[in-house]
Amino acid sequence: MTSTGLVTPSPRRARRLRSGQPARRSVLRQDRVALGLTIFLGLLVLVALLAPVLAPYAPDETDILAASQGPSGAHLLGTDALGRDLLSRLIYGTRLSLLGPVVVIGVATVCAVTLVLSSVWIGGRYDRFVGKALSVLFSFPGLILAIVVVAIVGAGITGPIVAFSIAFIPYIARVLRPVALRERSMTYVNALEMLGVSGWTICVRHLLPNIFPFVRAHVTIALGTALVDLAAVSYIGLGVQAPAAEWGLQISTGQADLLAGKPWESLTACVAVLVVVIAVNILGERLAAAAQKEGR
Amino acid sequence: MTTPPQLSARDLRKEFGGGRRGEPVVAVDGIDFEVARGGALAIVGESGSGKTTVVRMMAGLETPTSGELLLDGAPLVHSGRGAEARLARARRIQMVFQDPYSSLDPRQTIGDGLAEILRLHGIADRDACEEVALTQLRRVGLDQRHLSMRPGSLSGGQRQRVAIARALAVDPEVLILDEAVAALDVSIQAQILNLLNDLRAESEVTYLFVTHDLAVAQQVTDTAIVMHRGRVVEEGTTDAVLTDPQADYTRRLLDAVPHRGWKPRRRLAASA
Amino acid sequence: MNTLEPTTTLPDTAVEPAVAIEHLQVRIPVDGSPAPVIHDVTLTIGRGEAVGLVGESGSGKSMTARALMRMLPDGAEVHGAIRFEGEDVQEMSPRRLRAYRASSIAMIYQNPHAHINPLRTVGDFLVEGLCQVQKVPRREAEQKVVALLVAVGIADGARRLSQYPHELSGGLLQRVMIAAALATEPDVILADEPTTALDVTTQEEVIAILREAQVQRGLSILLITHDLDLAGAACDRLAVMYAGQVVEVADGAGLVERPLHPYSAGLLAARPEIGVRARLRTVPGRPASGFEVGDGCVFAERCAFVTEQCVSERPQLRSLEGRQVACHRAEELDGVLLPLADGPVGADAPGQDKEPS
Repeated sequence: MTSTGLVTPSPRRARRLRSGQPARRSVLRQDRVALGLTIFLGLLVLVALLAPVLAPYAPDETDILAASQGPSGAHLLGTDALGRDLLSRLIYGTRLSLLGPVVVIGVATVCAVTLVLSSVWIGGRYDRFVGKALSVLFSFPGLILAIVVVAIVGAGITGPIVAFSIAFIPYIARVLRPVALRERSMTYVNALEMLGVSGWTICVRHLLPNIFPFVRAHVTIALGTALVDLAAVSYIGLGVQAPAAEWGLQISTGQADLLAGKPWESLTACVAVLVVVIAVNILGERLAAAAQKEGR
Repeated sequence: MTTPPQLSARDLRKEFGGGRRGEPVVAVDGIDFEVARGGALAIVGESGSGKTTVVRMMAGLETPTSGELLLDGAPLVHSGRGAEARLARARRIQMVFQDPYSSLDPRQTIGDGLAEILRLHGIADRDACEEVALTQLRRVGLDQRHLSMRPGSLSGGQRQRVAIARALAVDPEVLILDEAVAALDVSIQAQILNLLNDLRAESEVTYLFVTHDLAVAQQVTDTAIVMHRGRVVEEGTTDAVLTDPQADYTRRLLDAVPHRGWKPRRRLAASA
Repeated sequence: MNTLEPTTTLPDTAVEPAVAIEHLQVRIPVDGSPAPVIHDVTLTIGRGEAVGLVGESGSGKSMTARALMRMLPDGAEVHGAIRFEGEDVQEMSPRRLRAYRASSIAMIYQNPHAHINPLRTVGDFLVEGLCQVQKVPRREAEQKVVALLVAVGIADGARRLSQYPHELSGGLLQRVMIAAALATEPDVILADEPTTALDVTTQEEVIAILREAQVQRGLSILLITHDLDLAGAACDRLAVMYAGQVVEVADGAGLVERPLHPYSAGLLAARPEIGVRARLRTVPGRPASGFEVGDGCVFAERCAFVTEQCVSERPQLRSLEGRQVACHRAEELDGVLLPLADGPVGADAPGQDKEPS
């Protein structure tokens, strides 16, 4: 990512001025904050992948003699009640804590985009049915749905992921529908129809790329919400089970120490959740603003 | 006319609404018209005249309440499904829209947009695509440079040229021009009108030119119908309609066009 | 045809004109750096005079109107003088500026629906200005407004007051906007493409109403339009703008019959005329904006008569036999432009006069 956008060559600017439209430059090159946040999130993914290399201890390595300690040279963030290194657990926790939301939002986005594009394209009774179904689904809080699913399949990471994958479909579809409807009403869509282009091709090759900036923005924001929701499920003991390392679970297991005046486990996990959620939210808002600006 | 009409409308009618909620609104009230192959018909009217509804029926976007639209004796719009029917329909009728700013996919380069249509219709294979696309662009007065541009870098007139090139790429029998020059600057409008005349001279395409602008209609068309409140109030050769109008409404329209020595008058019939 | 005498009498320019714009230059920031949108506009509107400001997109005609209202975008740099009855609009205090906008000068827009609150009735919209700015009691204001509605051709004005904007057609709503503009008894009306969205028959009506207001109330009107035929027929005097510069000023009939600037001639020739069927003479290229032109004549890039001098030196607006033109070659081109504007030549018109057989 070199900063070639710094000095804009004048012929390009002249052409842009003439056409009265912003040049098609990527958001990340125009927006330093968005770029920084993207790099930060990329680094987090690297941390998750390279956890065995980066973590000073194994996540389940106990040292009863050094239990519930504050930060020290040996344990940079201290240890938990079983004497496990908190930094290592935080680093390993990145894996499950990020994987959950990414899977949830990935599945929900694919479903939502498919439903929205197909219902906007086909219209009529199908559209009304999809609209009704999504409203019904939307009225169930994701957390309740997760509890119901866990009650059926049992506690663990699978139940909540399945539940939230479904619960987030209306959440994403609701924002994308008006965008897709507006795009559908553009004259170029009528023109392509008249030229014999199939509905499938129009949806996939024309509508989808044009609503993509909005998809990207709203999915980023939804990622933060999913992260909090999944952490909450783990916190109440229905999600990821001990002894696995996961931030929501860490907040929960750290409570005993917290009451004893040793906040390190809960605090570090809380901060981790908070930082990621704030980062994806700001990035999402920036992307949404850029998409809005680019929209005609 | 010695040749049989290529495109014709018979007692075409379109109503909206109706049913339990009272009287239907009659948008098109039983109109007839015909155009010979390679001819050009102007459909002239103001807002609410029904001209847009006629075009939408021809494009297959609305279904007539009664009456029919025929192309070479067969119904103009086939409702057949599948790729074959779709492509056949595309080669019968094409359309250029009023707004040049929304009629091209903003994310697709001009070259890619043309190539997509050329490949779809089997006009050119992957290798020949760019060359054929360039030929199409040259026909409408654009060149190599425009192939790699996106609509955002083109002016309104250039976009309308692209839209015309794209519509003609499939070699349609009928081209509908729906207020196709209305949104353009005067000096650009003239360029496009001349281009439309040149294109018709070199192919067999039939024009259906929908407009509110009488002077513009005269530039491109041979025959004209004047529509008012869903009915045809006058028809004939465009020159005759413009220079020797018979219907009161046509005269009223002509009087309202600013010209030398024009004195705008008030008719005090203010209605909602 | 070949005399250069103006065909209508111009208003007495000895008295202070209602509006005087002198060498106006406007630059607005684009991507952080100022880009010129108006290079040189010099224009006067006499008292009781209707002036047409004609130009294509990017010509700066609407920006000129905004400068006159002092409603330019943030960060705009303005040079030159804009005077309203001798008073510099740029120097007005905030308080004076409010009064100036409220009651000295009124504006009518292309799309009336975008300039009226859809949630309030036509009556509320019309009397608001009168009640708040001029402190007229509501009942009195309503009576006045109904009379105004009658004046603009809405006979059942009292009934219309309780209607909402969406219940009115475009033509009717534009009449309401004219009534609103007249309500504060302004000295000048700025009409920015007031009929572009309307049907021709409605356009005639609206123009006739504006003309009537001009004559009966002694209003000055600035009609901004892309339609040279319309402006020529509806205004006393025309100013043609191109790429941020006024290139020609003349009385309406004079300009339409005998343009002195190649661009005016090109505009006239490009517009088809009813009853004349021949290939249109076009101006090559497309209309340029103020920030696209070089140091020379703003029209040089598209002009058929361009010389070296045109490219290097920008012609100023100068008087020529009772008119004004910004062209180095105006005198020598005087006869040459005529056939171009008078009627297109038919020689290069392939496939034109074909009738269906």
